[in-house]
Amino acid sequence: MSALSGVRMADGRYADGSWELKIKVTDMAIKNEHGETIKNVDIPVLVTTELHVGGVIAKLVDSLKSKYDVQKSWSDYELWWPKACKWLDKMGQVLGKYEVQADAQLEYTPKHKIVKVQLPDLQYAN
Amino acid sequence: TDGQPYCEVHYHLLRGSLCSGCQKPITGRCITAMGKKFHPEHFVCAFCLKQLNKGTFKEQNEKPYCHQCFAKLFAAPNMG
Repeated sequence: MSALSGVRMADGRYADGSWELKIKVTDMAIKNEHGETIKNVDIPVLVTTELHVGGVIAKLVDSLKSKYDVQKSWSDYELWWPKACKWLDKMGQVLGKYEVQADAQLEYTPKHKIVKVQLPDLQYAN
Repeated sequence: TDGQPYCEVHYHLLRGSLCSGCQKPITGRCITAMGKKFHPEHFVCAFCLKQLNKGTFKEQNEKPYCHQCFAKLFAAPNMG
């Protein structure tokens, strides 16, 4: 952290080059402060353009654990960028290379989902 | 211990044999890592929650990770 960390400039970036990336975590079952179970939670993660995807996920999981005490296996989760329609699945790739900027809304979501398939005999299978 | 009666939890607290994962006494096998003690089944990777075997984990920010998850999350960034 430089001496400038925490100082915000006019464009919303911090003076050390970091910015807040908003990530929606889906398929959760955690209790909020009112005791209600919520399925999705928005987590802001402080990142830089030079941070790699694995580092973003490590920060995200850390703040989920400290904020909501989540005990969950994240091995099936990956970052999904709905607007660009792509998975950020190269863990060593930095955000700048994926062209992720501060206005991007990412999702942290399981890769394996339920699919309904209609078979040739017109039966459905999940 | 020193002639005084203790309940089970405080006995193990004094002996340092409470599991850091579940905060319950360890009576059987015990794993010591990162200066803490764990039940073998509660010494797990911080990312995928799979059980770790002693001696084959990696540490980052005082949390244990299996080699697979460690390589995935903390491998050298690819700037190119």
